[in-house]
Amino acid sequence: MDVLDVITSSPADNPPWGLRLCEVTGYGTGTIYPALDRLLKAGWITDQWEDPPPEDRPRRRFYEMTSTGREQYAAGLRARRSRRAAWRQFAPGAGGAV
Amino acid sequence: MLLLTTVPSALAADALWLRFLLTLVFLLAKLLARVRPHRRLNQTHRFPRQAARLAISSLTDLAALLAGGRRQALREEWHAHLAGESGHDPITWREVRQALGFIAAALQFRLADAADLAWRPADAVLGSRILSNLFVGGPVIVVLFAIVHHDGRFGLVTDIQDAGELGAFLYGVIRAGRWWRAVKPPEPKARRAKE
Repeated sequence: MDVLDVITSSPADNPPWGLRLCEVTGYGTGTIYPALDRLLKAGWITDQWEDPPPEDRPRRRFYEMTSTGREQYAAGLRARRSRRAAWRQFAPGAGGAV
Repeated sequence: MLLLTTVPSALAADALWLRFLLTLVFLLAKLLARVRPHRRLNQTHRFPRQAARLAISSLTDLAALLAGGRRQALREEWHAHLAGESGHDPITWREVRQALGFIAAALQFRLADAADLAWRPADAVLGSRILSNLFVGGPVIVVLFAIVHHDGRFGLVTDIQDAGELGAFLYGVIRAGRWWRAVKPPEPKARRAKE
């Protein structure tokens, strides 16, 4: 969800790429790239290479959400909120600790 | 560098081996510099900056190689990652950790590919009604035949629950498998077309 949070909140004219996702989420490359691969396979995100390619450094690969990804992400957020609400009802005193 | 000069000529001819060896030497030198701070690499300049970049680049190429031919795009993506926001970031321990993370990512890609391959026959059974019915019904019929063979038809009356339990278990496996793999078999065709 952290990766999707970053991709969703990024502006369209400045989409996230691998390094930025690592920096913002705090996860390492060994976590971020397999997660991106799974999301690409599931069709939740799509990739786009930097265009035009820069001459003095390698091209960057940008990621953005697809319509399917947005729907699934919204559904996931709703499910997360309802789980948290249920947990608060179940254990009101433990809300702060969790 | 001493180690490089002692490399046998057969290995030196192979560029990949040489680059891999260079990576190992670089990592070892970095590690030693950590253990013994007074011999820091930056101060003594024993390891040129370009060699460090080459070593990290080799590690990234190795990771891209491990990730497989279908993911060749990762090589350029990972090189862009190591280049940083500026496009020319210097090599530090952070880059070393990131390059090692690429190796871990590549291994995870391979494991995921292997798991997908292993699931393929199971997905074929789960996604087909005929194969699912065979998976449940086949062993049940075999058990019924075995009961009849050993105990005669009277055995069916006494041991029918064994076949029933087996069938229920296998049906449960199919249902759980479909849920777990998010597989939905095609809807059965209508027996009689609407007139």
